[in-house]
Amino acid sequence: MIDYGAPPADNEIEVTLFGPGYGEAIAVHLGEGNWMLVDSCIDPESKASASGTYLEKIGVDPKQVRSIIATHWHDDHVRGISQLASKHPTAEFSISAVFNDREATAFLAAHSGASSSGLSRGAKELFEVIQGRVNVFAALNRSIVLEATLNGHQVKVTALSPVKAAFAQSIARMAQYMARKDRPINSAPELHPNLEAVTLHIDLGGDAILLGADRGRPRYLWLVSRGCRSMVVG
Amino acid sequence: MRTAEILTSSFVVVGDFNPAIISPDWLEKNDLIGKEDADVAREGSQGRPMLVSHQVAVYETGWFALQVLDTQFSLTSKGAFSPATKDLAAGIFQLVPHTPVTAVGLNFLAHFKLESEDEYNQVGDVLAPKKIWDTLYPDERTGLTDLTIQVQPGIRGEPLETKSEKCISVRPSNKIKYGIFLSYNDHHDLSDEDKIDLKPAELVAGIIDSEWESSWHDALRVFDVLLSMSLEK
Amino acid sequence: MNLPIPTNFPIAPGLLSSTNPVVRRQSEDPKFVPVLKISRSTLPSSNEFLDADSHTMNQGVKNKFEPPMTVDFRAIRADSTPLQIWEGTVIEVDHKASVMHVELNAKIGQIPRHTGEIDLEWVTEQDKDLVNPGAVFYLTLYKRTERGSIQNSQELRFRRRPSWSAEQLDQIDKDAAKLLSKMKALPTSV
Repeated sequence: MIDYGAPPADNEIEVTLFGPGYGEAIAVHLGEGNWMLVDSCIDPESKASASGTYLEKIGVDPKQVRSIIATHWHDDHVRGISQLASKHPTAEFSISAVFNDREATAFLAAHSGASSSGLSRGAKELFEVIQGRVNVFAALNRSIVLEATLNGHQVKVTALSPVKAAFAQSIARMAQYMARKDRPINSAPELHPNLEAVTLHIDLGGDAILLGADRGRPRYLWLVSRGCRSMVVG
Repeated sequence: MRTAEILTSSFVVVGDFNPAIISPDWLEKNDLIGKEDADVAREGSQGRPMLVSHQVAVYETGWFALQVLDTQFSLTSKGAFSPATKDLAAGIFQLVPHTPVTAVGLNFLAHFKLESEDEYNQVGDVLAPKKIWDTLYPDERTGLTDLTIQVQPGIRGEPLETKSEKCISVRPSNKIKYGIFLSYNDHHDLSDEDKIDLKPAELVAGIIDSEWESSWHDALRVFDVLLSMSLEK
Repeated sequence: MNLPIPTNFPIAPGLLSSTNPVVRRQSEDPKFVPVLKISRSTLPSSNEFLDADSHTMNQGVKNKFEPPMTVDFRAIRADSTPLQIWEGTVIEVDHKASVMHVELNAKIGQIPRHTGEIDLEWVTEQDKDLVNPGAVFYLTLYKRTERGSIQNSQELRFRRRPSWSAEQLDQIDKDAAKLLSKMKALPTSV
């Protein structure tokens, strides 16, 4: 039986990592009950989204989640994200701006299971979220994902990637696996390095957090700076 | 984790089929198998001829055995256990999207060797305690020949929300001395599935694609726990 | 109580028969070594690759159909267990050197993804046309039991799936347009 503990205090910043590996999902408390969720993974016992279950257990109201970000489309980082998105319908949902492109959305559609048997759980999850939303936000270098004044500080979540220079290369790689006449239906492998992934900088007005997935090793680079002190976890 | 001596996967789909369609020629024409495999299937092997008619299709290659009756489709791996069998099963159903199907079972069958007759008997005694049987038949030998456990989601006593379930069976192995045969059936009833505008056979292909690997790993976990706990001193 | 229609064992028309070898275990299992390069020089002796069925392909057979009956599960032939399975993707094909550069993801255990080279000799004739960048294959190392003897064997098999149909491509186009219409830009910082 997991003791989830109490929710963070209003003036406490909390970063919680979930996952079988090195943090396939993250929940960030930005302050004053405002939460941001990054990626998703599934609790193998309950089959529910791990971060969603955590927030529920510590008594967070679904409306308190301001933003959900899918840093990339790979299965291991977005399992259960459609469930998370349904649980928090008022949260803004953001994905990599690489998908703000006709060919990239065709790639997602082809591998989602909507028009053929599901070839990528990740693609299916993202497809379902986008389908179910009125709007989805495209994040790229310098996009402001979230901005608010919390605990007297200006809190700003900015995307540092993908950079525009990587778009063409990402889409060219996806093109190899796009659905075409006479091309066999095949899964798209998770290509590395992942040029389309979203890296997030969270400026808490004094402290800062950097979250990056699939940018090489370690899987998540978590840099917390307090003056000169920093920590890397992954 | 314990390693089986023999591991097989099989796919069983319930529905209304026209076996004549799923011939080696058809598989080859649709690039689901190569020419060499199609030739092996057509020619038959080891006294097992190919048979394809409107009532039944039965043939095999070096890596799979296929059988289609009017109400049931089954594909069983042979030789090297490989996800290629999963691709073949899913590929077939992608190509026959209008086939009325109602359920699919993802099955994993394993034979495990135990170290001794004592271990072999211990497994049977733990899973099927002999107290009642020894009371009924004090002067005779009693032993487990078949045990099946049904696993359904939810809490006992509450109404079932789904027809999908798992069935795990334990039997003595007929292939290995002091061996145990374990089977894991992951049964999916299509009435439980979220359709996303897919036809039933496409749903089956989708289930096979998305669930097979996790079922495989869960089967291995179940087999390992079953045997480990049965063999605890 | 309504029982679901079982999907665990097939009903056989009696044409599948079984062999029942008693397995004598070797004293020590050969160790598994991760694959980084598979070339002609690392191929085991050729007779380890012969499938038992290939010896009997040309025997004369009599077509016979018997009515369906519930099959003894033991009738399903099975004679191997995997030691490791990799799902590989072809990254590049070097026809001159007769190798393919591949990425390999292990399916058993937590083994990091890695790249390697595989000699095209390993690809069967029927799969040669499938060797292209992006193609997926499975490389299985397995323990094979045949007539009481156990050997380690390997098999490389390419993934085969139907091609995209015109109907599917049309649906993908429609879905892609719908998805694109929902994408909105975020404000940017200076």
